[in-house]
Amino acid sequence: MRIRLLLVSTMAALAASAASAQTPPPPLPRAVLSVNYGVQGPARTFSDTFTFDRYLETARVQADYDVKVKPFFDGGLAVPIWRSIGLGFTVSRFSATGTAAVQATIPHPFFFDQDRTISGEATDVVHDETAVHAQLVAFVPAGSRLLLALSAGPTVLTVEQSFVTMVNYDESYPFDTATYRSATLQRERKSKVGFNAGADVTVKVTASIGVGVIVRYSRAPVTFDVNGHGLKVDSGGLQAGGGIRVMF
Amino acid sequence: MRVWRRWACTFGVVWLSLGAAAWAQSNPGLRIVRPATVSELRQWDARIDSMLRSGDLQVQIAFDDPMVPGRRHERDDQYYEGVKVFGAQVVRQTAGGQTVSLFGALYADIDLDPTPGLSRDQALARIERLTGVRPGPSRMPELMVFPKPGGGYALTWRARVFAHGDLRVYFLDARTGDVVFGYSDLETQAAVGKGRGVLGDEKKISASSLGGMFVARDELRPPSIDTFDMQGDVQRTLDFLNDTVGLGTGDLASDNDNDWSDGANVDAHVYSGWVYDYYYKRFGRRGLDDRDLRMRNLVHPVHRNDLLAYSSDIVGVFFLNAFYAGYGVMVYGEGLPPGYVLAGTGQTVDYFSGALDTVAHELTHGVTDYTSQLVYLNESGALNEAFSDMMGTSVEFYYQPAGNGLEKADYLIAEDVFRPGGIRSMSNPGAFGDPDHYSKRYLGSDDNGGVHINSGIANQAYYLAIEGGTNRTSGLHVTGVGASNREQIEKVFYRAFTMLLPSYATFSMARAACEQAARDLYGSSSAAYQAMSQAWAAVGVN
Repeated sequence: MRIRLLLVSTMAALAASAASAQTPPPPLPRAVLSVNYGVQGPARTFSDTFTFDRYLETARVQADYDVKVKPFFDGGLAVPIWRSIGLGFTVSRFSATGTAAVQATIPHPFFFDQDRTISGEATDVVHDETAVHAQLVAFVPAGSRLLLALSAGPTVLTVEQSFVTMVNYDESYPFDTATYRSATLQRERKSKVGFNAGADVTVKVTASIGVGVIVRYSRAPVTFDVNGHGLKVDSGGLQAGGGIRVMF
Repeated sequence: MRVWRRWACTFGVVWLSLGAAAWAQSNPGLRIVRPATVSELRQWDARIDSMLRSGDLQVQIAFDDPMVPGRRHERDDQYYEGVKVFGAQVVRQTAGGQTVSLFGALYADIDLDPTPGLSRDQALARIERLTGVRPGPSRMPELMVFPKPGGGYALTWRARVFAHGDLRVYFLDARTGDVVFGYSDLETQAAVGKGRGVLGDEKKISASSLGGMFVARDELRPPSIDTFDMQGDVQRTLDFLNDTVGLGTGDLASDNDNDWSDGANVDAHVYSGWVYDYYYKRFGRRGLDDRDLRMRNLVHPVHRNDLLAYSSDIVGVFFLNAFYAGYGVMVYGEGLPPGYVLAGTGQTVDYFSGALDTVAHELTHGVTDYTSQLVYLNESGALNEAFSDMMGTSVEFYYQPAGNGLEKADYLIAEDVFRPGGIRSMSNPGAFGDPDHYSKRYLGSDDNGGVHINSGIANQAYYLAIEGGTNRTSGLHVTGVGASNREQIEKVFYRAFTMLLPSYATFSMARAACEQAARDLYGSSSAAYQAMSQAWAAVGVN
């Protein structure tokens, strides 16, 4: 909440400053349509542990998920509504399908307290984020060809995540070892409201076409109910990219 | 959006066994069909008819009652937009067209797109990647609505695959290919239970589920290991041993909940498995005949508390003895009832299967039977007995911590059954009146020429080769390989006694065979060879 207030105040100050500049600023476009491609980071990890009963004892599984820096793309529209203040709406999509490191201890069928350790990799672990950003935008023209836009607002982040819910392994007599075969994945989807703040710099190539770069930070930790407990998955992050701007 | 008919259910609840209880119990859409009154029955009957007309239910099978004339049964599966709903079914019994009973489980509020994103072939490929098995044409994945445990439904491909020793049913999300749910469909399978042995210790038992019971049949180890509870029927035991009757699954020791309490059955079954494991892990041997011969334990051959009702022959064989009866059959004696002690020693005698070294001892007779076939007379007989003692002790040290007392590895024989003290000592055979030196060997005809007596000589050699020390009779000192290297001496004796010795072996041959085995395995300058040579010399065998 504190961060959001600070961002809004900063934008208000910038807007006021832009409005009170001595030289009249170039007119703002009626709307700016933007499409961006870039990378989202930072890379992050999260872990889950769960147990299941096997051979009268408890088998324990730990899954370490790795969300790498991966590309994102977005598309949005920003419209000035009063002086240099506007409203924006952006949808961004980030996909970091990858792997999860799985470790488990599996009890022995013949003896108590003789767990076997297995490890392996779960593949096709989906981590998709679809973010819908609503933004209050402060347009700051900087010369005739440069347009700076600062934005902040709430974000609805929808995360689709695969979770390891069972480990599959091979074992055979004498059962002193077991070998990881695969992991059973369960895909879950959940949404959470968070926030976003960002800056966009557009260089006009023509009167209505430009290229721009964007830096945006958004965050909405989502808690999934998986394996019988709540598991918090950080979503959002820092997006940096560039793309096309169409100004009307 | 397609809106599924929402129907309310206010009827009573009964749990139906659907094989994967935890799955179905938790779906809030589950509606149990069990009308409690005639009025409810009529309402449900009308609803079922309506669902049959609309295609939401489809008759899977209908048949005339073979037991009650005039009755007819019909089994109807629930479908959603032409896709079968997993586990959803009603069973209707009619008489003259009138419904008599109705039981079932149906799902309400199903709302999904019945078009799969994943083709059948793609699902098949996913199954193959998951299990390493590609099911044949008659085992193709079937599109099915799966009620999810927490609520809601998933369109899935259901496949049944036999792989890795299990028959598993997989439900793959028909959109993503992820496994939504899976369970084992193997109806009779190994079931690991637990039990308390003769001495009260808890251990895992490899049993099997059979007809709602658990039986002492080990299906996890390569040979079938069966433990039969003879329930004191000595005649049946004798008949079986004489091959005039067979034993079936009804004779297997059994338990209702796989938490076994009959210590004699538990230990016979568990320890035979351990002995099989020892031979496999130590020597790579696959059971008694090295070809996974079926192992059968006979427990409770007599009624323990009826001791005085039996002849002395029966008491000697089935109370105070355990023996290998050939063909992979072991018989474990009952011991003495509480309050009785052995005349002379004052020892109590527990169930014979309660001592790991005793079980290993008897099973080793089986190994000898399939290898050197040492004749059970005189010196070869003593070597036969000694080899069983050696392997019995080796198995103890493999599984139990070294020490004194119950369930500890030591050089006493059967100390967990004959309490206190056991019946023989390898470290000091003289403590039980057995010779520790060849010069003291028994030359009479009792005990088949002293097979349980003269075994002390070879037993002492085994002990000295491992632990080292001085023979009390010769005064010769032996440098043993040390307890941490006991595996070397175990392998030397195993090699000598199963591969090198002839049936009518003598002590002298045994020494030569052991030295040869030590040379073969470790070289003539090895500690094992030196220990072996010194140990046999110390016990007076040249």
